[in-house]
Amino acid sequence: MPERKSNSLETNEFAWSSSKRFWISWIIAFHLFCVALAPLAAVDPRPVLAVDMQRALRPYSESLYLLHGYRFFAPEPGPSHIVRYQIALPSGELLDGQFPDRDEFWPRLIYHRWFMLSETVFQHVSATLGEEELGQWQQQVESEIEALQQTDPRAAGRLSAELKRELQDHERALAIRNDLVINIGKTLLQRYGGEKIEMRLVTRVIPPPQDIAMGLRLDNDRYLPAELSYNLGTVYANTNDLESLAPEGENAAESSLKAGQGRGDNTP
Amino acid sequence: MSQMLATYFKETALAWNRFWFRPSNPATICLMRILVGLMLLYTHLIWTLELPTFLAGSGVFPADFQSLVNGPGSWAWSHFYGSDNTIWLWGTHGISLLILLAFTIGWQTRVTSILAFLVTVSYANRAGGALFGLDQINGFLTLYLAVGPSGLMYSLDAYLKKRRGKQEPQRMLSTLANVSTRLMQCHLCVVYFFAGLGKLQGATWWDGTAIWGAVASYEYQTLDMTWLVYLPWLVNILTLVSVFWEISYAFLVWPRLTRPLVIIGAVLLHLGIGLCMGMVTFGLIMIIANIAFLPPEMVQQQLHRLRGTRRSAQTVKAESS
Repeated sequence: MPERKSNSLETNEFAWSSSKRFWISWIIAFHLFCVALAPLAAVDPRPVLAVDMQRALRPYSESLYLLHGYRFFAPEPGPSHIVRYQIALPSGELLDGQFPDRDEFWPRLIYHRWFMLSETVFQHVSATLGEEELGQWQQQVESEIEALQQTDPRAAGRLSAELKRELQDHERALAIRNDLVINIGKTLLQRYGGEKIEMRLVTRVIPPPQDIAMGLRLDNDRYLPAELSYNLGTVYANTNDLESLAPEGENAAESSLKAGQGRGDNTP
Repeated sequence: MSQMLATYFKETALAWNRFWFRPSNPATICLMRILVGLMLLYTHLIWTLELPTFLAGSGVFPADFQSLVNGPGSWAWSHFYGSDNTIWLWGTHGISLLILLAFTIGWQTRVTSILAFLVTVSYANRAGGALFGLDQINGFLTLYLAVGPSGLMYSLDAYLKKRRGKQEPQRMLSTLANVSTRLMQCHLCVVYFFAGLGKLQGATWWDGTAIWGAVASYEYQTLDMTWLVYLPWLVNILTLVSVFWEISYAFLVWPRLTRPLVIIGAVLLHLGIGLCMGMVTFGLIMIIANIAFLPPEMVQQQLHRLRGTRRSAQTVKAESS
């Protein structure tokens, strides 16, 4: 778009015509509205108004990569998450590893990419926790729907739709978590030429200041509590299944993560 | 009354027009093109080390996984979705690096600035689960550098134009340069405002201990700052100043009186994050984004001075030899 340069400035403060300025003003206002709406709609808790508006504006915001929450270290700096794995090699040897790993991933930006991957694993794992509560809630809602069908069929319909949506969301979250774990497993197996990989999500909590004042180091194992360790499952090189995900009684992390101990936004 | 309202709206419209559409010197966005371009080059060059892991169809984020995460009706596009072919992956990566190089040096900038934005978003959408703040800031800065004439100065385009004997770009003023700068400034205010508001939900930002949580995170740590444990009041000050600074940025960066303080605060905060928490790239891109608030005349003057100093240093060297 060719534009007139400063030669007209002595007689007119603006190089653009008033109609051009008028229409560009609308575009700017619309764009800035999308920029400011995104952080309201992208992160929980979010107002329904913002979510619904964002849905309508999604083609624009998503195409221009504007859909971000900008919640750097918010609501507060939380624990870090590490994926630890053991790969069985064809020779019978076992290879232990983890990501992020500052000894393996260099330069720092690559380390950070792996770090963000482990945080993404945590996000998707925590989104699928609470099966028990979901089951209880489902039973409760189903009985409410049954009771309402006689007295208020419209309310029953609304509840039924809400239940359906929640169950669909949970199914989707499970599919995402399992897919991600399988993809990571397959990628690591390919990388190291392994046959089988077992993966575990470990949480490193923030050490209390008094511990450090007593001389403990940040990498002390006491900050990797077993009750916040979560079995991600086992992946084999020759199948596309995820085995032994969260075996019964092993995932003590479930209750703790649900209670919020493992949560906190640690992404900059 | 109606007369008063008419005057009010007229003055508001004039202020709006002056804010957005007064032609300005493009020196600031041209300098930012070089700095953002260098960051984009580095960011994408580093992807080379893990291209098959994060950007290939057989990596950790296959296309069907990304579409599951994005949900139906997603507009998160990427050229990598075009094919899982290795030649396509490495070929387009090579071309992307060349585009970013051309953008950085300012060659065919009108075209390469738009292509640089498309490259940035394309990579970010493809590597969804491995991103952080750096990628978000890279995205919006590149978008606005594509809007404005970021190749008008300090570029190969300007050099070639000058050699052909055309008008010196330094004498040009551009409305689009102002629009581009204003968009960067407003977007940056939104970023800081929500970053600050988000923190108000966290108890440790209120009790003044959040900075401890940041410096005591082993996975982030690059510089040992655990000595802060002996200075709890300093942790309090750093925490509260950070959150107040972020929230007030959108208001205090505009008045001329407070702007230098706010910008100095930005440099200190982001240098701290960069050095102590191993996020040099994120710290640097935030500092670069803050350059949008420097007056173009000042940028031009400083760059001229820098060039002048170098010239005189070279002259001295030549004379002494």
